[in-house]
Amino acid sequence: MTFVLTILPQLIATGIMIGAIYAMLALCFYVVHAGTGLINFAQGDFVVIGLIFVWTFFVGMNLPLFIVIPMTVIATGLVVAALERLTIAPLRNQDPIIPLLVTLALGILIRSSIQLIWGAQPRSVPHYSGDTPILIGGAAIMAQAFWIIGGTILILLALYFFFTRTMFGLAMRGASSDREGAQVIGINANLISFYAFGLSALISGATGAIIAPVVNADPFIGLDFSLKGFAGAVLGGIDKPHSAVLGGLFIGILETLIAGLISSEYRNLFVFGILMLVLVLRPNGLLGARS
Amino acid sequence: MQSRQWMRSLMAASAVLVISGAQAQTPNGPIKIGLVQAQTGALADSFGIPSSEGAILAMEEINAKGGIGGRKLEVVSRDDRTSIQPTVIAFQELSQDPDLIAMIGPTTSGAGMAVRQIINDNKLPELSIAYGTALTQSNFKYYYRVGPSLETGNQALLNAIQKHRGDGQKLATLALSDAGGTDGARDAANRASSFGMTVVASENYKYGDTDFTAQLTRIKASGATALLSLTQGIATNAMARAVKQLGMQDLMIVGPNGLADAQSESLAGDLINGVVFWDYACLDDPNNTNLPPLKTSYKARFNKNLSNGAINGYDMMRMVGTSLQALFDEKKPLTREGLNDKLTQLTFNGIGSKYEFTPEWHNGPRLEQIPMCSYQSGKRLPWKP
Repeated sequence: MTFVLTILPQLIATGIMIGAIYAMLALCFYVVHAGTGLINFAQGDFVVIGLIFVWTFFVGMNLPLFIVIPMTVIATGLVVAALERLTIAPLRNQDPIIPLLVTLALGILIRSSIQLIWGAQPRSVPHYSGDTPILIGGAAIMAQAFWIIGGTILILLALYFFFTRTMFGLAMRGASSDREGAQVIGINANLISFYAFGLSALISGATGAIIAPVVNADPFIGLDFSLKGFAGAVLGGIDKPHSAVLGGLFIGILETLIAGLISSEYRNLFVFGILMLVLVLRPNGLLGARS
Repeated sequence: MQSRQWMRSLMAASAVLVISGAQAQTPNGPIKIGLVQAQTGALADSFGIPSSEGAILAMEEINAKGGIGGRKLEVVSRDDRTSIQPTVIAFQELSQDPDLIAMIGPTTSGAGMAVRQIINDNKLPELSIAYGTALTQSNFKYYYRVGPSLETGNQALLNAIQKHRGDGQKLATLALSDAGGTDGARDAANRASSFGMTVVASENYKYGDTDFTAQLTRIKASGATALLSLTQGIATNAMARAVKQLGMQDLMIVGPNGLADAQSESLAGDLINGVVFWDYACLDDPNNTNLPPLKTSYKARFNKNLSNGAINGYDMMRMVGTSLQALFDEKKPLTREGLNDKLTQLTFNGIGSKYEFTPEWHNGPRLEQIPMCSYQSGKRLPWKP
């Protein structure tokens, strides 16, 4: 018991930071799903594109951080927008399973292209506010964790504004709840899809920018991100942004507690075991609408 | 009728001659060496590519001196993609080439085990870094480990902890949760008591994990005084960051050479200062006279700094070259079996390690011949307790 109490504050602090990363990924799943009805399994690789740009601008080109972050967001947005036009948009009227498979292939394509252009070696990005830990309540917390948690809150606020105050946001929410009805009243599904992918790309870029010092610019991390983000979105409920975010946060805390209190060997067993259980008992997620 | 039978016999004999002629080695053609290393995948940049470059450099040096009895060495290269299936395909393909006399590679122990049957069936000598226990436990007639084995490597590391910190140490292990990592941690745990220490924590991780705070929190709470860190690159970085975050700088950290290789260094930098590791050679050892010329020629050829992977590939190709030269000097045919006979009794001074193979020992350098190094601000120097 003493052992558990000793390590618990550290595990919870780490779990919140990891959970914030998964929350942002889950949010991206929500956005694309809301705009297109699709599950985008290239999502983690979109974040990897952001990681690569951060390293290139911040370490490779030595640009100041206040320029690096917006440049990363814009560059990631442009790349993903181009990929959406080339690979997803032409399949709009196909059976939904086809674009789903294409997103899986797109992830592989992104990973292979990054390896080809940039190499397979992960690159280190320095912490933005130094790497001296701050001691809070028995936990040693890296300053970068505050960047990640703060960034997640900022992105959530921006999305709240987008979905409640802008025409596209409202249209996207409308389209997500009734796709056919939205088309009948003249909402352009093609444009909504483009904006959904664009928005998820901007979030991916921002996510990449703030998590790079913790996860490194690693070309191979995309699939793992996709699976954890998807698990978070489905666990919380993919039909609401706050449900997806809480799902991501839950996954991060759960897997860290499992790793710390039981063994890291069982992390995925618990995470995906609980995910399967939720899918069976509550297919719309723990916080999603009851079916 | 009789003349028709003669004609048939003549045709059959001609066919046999043509086929056997095609299978025989071309006496004046190149001597081919298969090079199956990771050119893509997780271990490409850190090991596979530099190892291939080291082998090619050694081959070019041998060829520049006239080759083996006037015959040039020629590398036939395939990408094992840090994966088992492409390795098996490459070994199946290359082993069918009658002019190919030896294989260098693959990169991982799993792939090494997967090609064992191909090597044995084709009597094809294989030199590899793969360090899994099973590779030299039995049936290893054609397999030569060039680098410390898991067992001797662990003994060297535990010995270093005991010498440096004395008896009564509390050992924690951190290993990748694959066959190699699990074997390595289990072997160290089994040996710990004979080095006067107890195992207090056994943690693991998987590919893609980027934060080891949970594992290191458990290790810290266990009261560990030494950590056997079976990590490389991104995992070394995650381990070193967690050690710093949790204020565990008193922990003595030891591990295989991946702990402080170029990739680990580029990611973790000075966070790995003071770690102790075995290697093929301590790269900045001022007393190793083999290193400066190799560093110069490698830089000139590939425009890169020398790494332990390059040293390994260089040594493997030179072992093949030395053994072939010995065969040629004895006027024996340059065949796979002949080469294997020479390799199995080879005594070879590598760039930093000495190898003494016998029919019973193909298991890399012996314990006392393993260089122990320490990382300090970009330098890998010989370690002393």
